[in-house]
Amino acid sequence: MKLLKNKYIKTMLEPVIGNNPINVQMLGICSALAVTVQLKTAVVMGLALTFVVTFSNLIVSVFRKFVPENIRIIFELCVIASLVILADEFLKAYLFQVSKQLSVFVGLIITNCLVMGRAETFALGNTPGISIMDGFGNGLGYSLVLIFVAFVRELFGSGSLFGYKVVPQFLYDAGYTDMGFMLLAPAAFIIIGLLVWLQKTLFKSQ
Amino acid sequence: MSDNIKSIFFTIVLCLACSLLLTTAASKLKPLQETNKLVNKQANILKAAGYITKEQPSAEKIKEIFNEKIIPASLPENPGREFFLTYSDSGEISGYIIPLESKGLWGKIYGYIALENDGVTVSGVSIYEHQETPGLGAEIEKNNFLNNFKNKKIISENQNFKGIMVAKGKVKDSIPKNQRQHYVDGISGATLTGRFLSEGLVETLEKFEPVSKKFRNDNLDFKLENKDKQ
Repeated sequence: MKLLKNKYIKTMLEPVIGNNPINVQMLGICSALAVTVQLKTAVVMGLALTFVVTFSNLIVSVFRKFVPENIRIIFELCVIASLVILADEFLKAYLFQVSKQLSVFVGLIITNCLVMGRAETFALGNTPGISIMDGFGNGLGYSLVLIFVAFVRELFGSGSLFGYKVVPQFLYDAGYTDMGFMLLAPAAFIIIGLLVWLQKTLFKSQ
Repeated sequence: MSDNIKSIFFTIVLCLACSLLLTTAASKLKPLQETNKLVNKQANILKAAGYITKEQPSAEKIKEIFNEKIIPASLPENPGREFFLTYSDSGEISGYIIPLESKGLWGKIYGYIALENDGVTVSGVSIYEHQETPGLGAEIEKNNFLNNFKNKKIISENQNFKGIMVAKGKVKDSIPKNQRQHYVDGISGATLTGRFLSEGLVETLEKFEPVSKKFRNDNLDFKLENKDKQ
């Protein structure tokens, strides 16, 4: 258990379970509703956000001593926006179909308060090494929730996972139907709500 | 004062660094993105023509089907206006596909309209680029909307040009019976997108009326284009 005592590992794991960005901090809900109809888009979105939040934390933290106080928000936004555009360009080049499905939501990572929040509250006051871990952990926590929600929605909404049918045909023959409601945004709301409830009960101390 | 100068200097350096990074990335990735766009276009031509139904095949497969089934063509009297011909297995022209360009609510809508070789019946429509609102107007690219176009007629019974329009709401509630062959069901919450798309559909079909007329008169003297241009 020595590993868990390590400062870096602790910083990384905290947002994954205890202080989850979606379930506890309530950040980034908008995209969690929009891109979780299918697992594939959720995974890609999670990766893109993890990339952005990790590197924005790193860059902001490296320059934290040089950035003039009065333009620090502009600086953070500039870094985040550049990283998001970079991620978007890469998606368009290598994962065109997915990027089409994600449409505006990759661009909207710029306004995802999760990224800005971590840069402002963590990276500005900590060393680069630990800031990376914090960014990565937050991205991971966000991705995990997204993937879980997408898993439930795709499984019950379309009867498939990653586009492959997993609900066997004989169940359909026996009268099982996909839950159309799961494909709509309110379904994600309900699933996230249940997750929040679960988290609050499991970690009562908070 | 020196604080302000420092801030301005920092901002300039920051902007330069960011723009340099993004320009490099954009120019390096451009060829790949262009190929993706081209394949996407070809896939949508095939989709309109009904060669691809649900799952999108790989890029190579799309190119293969495209090269095999689709021939670019134009009118001898108007070489700039390009469209595509499809051939049946017996080698006859089975239909034609025209590029759709329409205004939308937030930006332009691009797609393809496939018609049968009678020059009247629509066999399919596909949309590959738009900026409509996700969840509302963006539904125009979904199959439940696009499938409605099949078997609609662009010409009325007494041979007048009508085009295809998107109804406000369901066709069977709002359109008189003798007009229904020219209308498809609208999307609720996307009335404006529907209105713009109707205009675009009629405009595009009107622009390609000379082609459709040739099909109706069985006078198929088209200029076939070199495929490599595509």
